[in-house]
Amino acid sequence: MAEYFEFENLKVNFRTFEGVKNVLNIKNLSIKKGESFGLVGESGAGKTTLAYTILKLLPIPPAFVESGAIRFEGEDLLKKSDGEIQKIRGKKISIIFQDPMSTLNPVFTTGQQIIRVLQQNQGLHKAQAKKKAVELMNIVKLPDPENILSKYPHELSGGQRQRIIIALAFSCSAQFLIADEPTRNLDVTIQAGVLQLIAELIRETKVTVLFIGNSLELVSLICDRVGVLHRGQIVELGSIREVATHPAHSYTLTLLRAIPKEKRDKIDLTQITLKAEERVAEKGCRYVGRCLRKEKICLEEEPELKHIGGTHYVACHLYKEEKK
Amino acid sequence: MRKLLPIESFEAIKPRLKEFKLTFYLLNRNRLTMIALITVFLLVLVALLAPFIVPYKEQVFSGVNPQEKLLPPSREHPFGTDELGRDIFSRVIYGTRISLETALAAVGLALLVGVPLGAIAGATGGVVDEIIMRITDIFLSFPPLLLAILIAAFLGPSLTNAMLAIAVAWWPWYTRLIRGQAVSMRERQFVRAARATGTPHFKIVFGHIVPNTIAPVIIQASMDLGGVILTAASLSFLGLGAQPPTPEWGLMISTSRNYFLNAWWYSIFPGLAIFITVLVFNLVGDGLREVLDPRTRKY
Amino acid sequence: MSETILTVKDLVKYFPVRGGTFTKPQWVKAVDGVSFELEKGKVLGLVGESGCGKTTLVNVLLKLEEPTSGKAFFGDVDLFNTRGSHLRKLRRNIQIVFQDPFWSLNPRWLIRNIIGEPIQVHLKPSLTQLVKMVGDLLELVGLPREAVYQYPHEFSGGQRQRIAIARALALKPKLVVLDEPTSSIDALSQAQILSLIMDLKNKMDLTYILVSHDLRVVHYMADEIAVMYLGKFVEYGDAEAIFQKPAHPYTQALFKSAPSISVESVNDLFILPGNVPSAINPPSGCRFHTRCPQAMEICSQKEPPLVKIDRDRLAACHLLN
Repeated sequence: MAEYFEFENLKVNFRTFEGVKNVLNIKNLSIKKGESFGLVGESGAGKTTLAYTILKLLPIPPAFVESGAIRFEGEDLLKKSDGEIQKIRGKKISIIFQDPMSTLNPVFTTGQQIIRVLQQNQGLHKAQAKKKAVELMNIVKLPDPENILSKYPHELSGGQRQRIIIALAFSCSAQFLIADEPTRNLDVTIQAGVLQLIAELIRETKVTVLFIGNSLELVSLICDRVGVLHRGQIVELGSIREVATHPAHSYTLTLLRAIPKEKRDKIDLTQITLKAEERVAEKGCRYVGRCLRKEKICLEEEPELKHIGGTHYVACHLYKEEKK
Repeated sequence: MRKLLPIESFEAIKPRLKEFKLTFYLLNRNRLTMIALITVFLLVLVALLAPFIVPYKEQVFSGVNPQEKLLPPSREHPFGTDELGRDIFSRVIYGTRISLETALAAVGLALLVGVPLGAIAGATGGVVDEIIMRITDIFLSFPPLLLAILIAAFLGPSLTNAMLAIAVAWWPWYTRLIRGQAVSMRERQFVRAARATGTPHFKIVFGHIVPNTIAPVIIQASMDLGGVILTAASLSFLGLGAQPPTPEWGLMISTSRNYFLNAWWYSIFPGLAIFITVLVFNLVGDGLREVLDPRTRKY
Repeated sequence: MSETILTVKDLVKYFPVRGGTFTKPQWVKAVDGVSFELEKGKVLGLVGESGCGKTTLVNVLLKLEEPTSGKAFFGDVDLFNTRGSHLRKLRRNIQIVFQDPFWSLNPRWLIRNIIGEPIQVHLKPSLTQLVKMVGDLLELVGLPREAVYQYPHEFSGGQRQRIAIARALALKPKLVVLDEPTSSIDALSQAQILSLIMDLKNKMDLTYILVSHDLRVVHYMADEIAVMYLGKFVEYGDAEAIFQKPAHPYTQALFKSAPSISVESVNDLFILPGNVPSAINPPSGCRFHTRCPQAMEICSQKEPPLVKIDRDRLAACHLLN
């Protein structure tokens, strides 16, 4: 039985001056149709690389896919030709990037850009595309659409630009949406509005979502299930409730609890070490450089995701079943 | 790149060497750039060793050998001989030395004048910026050829004066280039941090801003080496640069005009030399472009 | 009784807007009348969104920009009227840690020179002394001494932030401005950096001005906070009191729109309507009235003064008078 969206043994590497670095190593991850799946991790963990790999947007040297498959509706995306992927990009799989200023072309008005995308992806005439552009502005709740469409990207605020990107992403009734930290550069009050918009659109269009973020709090607002990514590997997987209430991996604990709620309490450093980071080890668990609980097995064997209840999985040798 | 400390310990040199090696590694990833780089290296070698490797050293400048004049290429004279019986191969090899020297001198001089002016203008802003840029504009509006003719008229035509003329015509481009970079660099956070520390302006300009803005200038300069060789050859062709009997490529082509129909080899080989030299400098400059930006340099 | 280390009175900074030859000169009113006093050993959190003026405020205090008007005193030294060697000495006491992990350190310099720059400018040590002092500073921030001979790009964001902190502390300043110290780094490093910053504060008797939009960080570190909107303080006082019960509507909106794990659904986030108005032509009366859910008529007519509204704080709002 094929899953709707599936990563299988995906290994993505980068060729650097100092040798080959493995950036992504995902053994097994699947996303069900209609689900909103969140991926959380720090910058450099490989989240954006994952988004780019799906749509074959990686700079191929120096990056390269060593092995694995990404299956969408049963078909391996990595094996598709450039022409075939081009038909999928923006139409079946849509993506929202982090930085609207670099996604939008500064020398064209937003209207011109939207119309061009609609013409290309949906084969609409100019007049039809114009009409649809106005509709899209209404869908993302931008008042005074004609005015907005006539402006250049730098004349709009960050929140407005991001709404336009969202409009573009939802314009072609894509079935799968990748949102790569869509609110990263926005102020917190604007972020709230944009997140609500995204949540509403997801609800209405029933699109399947891969939502990438760098904090669990953010991701928990949109997603049903979450995976925690550390140095290219999934270290914990489960529903939001499972992971947020009973974080099993040290790294997840850090993400959730490092900055204390109570003022002036000592920051809980029991799960993390103050030593500077070390190089990624050849074998064994990749979290070893930061974890305070290492044992011999951690240095030798890479931990696999093991089932610890419900839909909750963790990749750690030292996880012990605790009383819930 | 270097802070103004007089002595550098061994440990401080090691990381800089590593950066240099990284640049090399990245340059060599592109096949074409690698070939161009090797060719440049060979040219430099030829230029340095010219006196030792030319087969007919005495014929390079003025050895007159009338019975062997205008001979086509053969085993003894791979590039043939010219109207005075001189071996063209030896002259072309010596020409490498002359052209490279001239190119390095002209570009070096232009950089020496242009870079500090542009850096100071961009980093200081205000009136200083205005004054320097207006002067730059004035120099930019001089056609290089006119300048060369003027200088030749005043100082007499010679290769050295051609080199000076080129330097005078060229420096404003570097000023303009680096000034633009300096303006954007001046608001960077590490520059602000230096100002907040109280670092004197002079050290900020030359210690902080110049090393970070010099990359486009280096790229431009490496391509300009080719351009200068071409310009110097053109000036010599017109009689304003190298004078006979200097074995300069442009001069050789100029002289070959008279013998064009009978001695094809006379213009071809110096011309080929110019072509190849200019080409490889351009290719290296292009390769450097990708490699020197600190943000894209990570791989 | 703690001494006051920084006093600011009616600080104003306007930037000119370059118009054409025929347009009237206009000004971006980045900071429009800010006053406060900072006690030694305390942490002042400056909170606000982009465009509120907090970055401009600290730039002026660091003498990276000239003020348009107003006064500031460091101890009893007039900040804006000091020049020459006195200014040099003053700079040793006020330092800044910037936020951008890439550009806050000169990418072409060795760590030795980056951290060592303040020492070289003010103390002129020998090479050996310099290396030792930089090594000590590296240890202070939890980095290996070998880092002295490395380049910034060899380090992660969190480590670069430590280097920036080491540089700021090189001359043992009294006041340190932290400009979004944790915004561009990962969660793990954030916790470590915060812990480090607080430790150093106690060890070296520092006073901090913390500029941040991350409320968790401000909550953890600040003794007092000042909430800025369009160049003015709208609420200012004891941090704990303000976090428990924010008084000004803007402060309330800020706190309620931040995601947290206890928020059940995205629809529970509070949405502030509209956008930040232009700083060239700020709204009449109370600058926040165009977006305030509780605006009254007087709000568009008269600007509310920043006054004491209870024991611990000041706020500028007609609702609270």
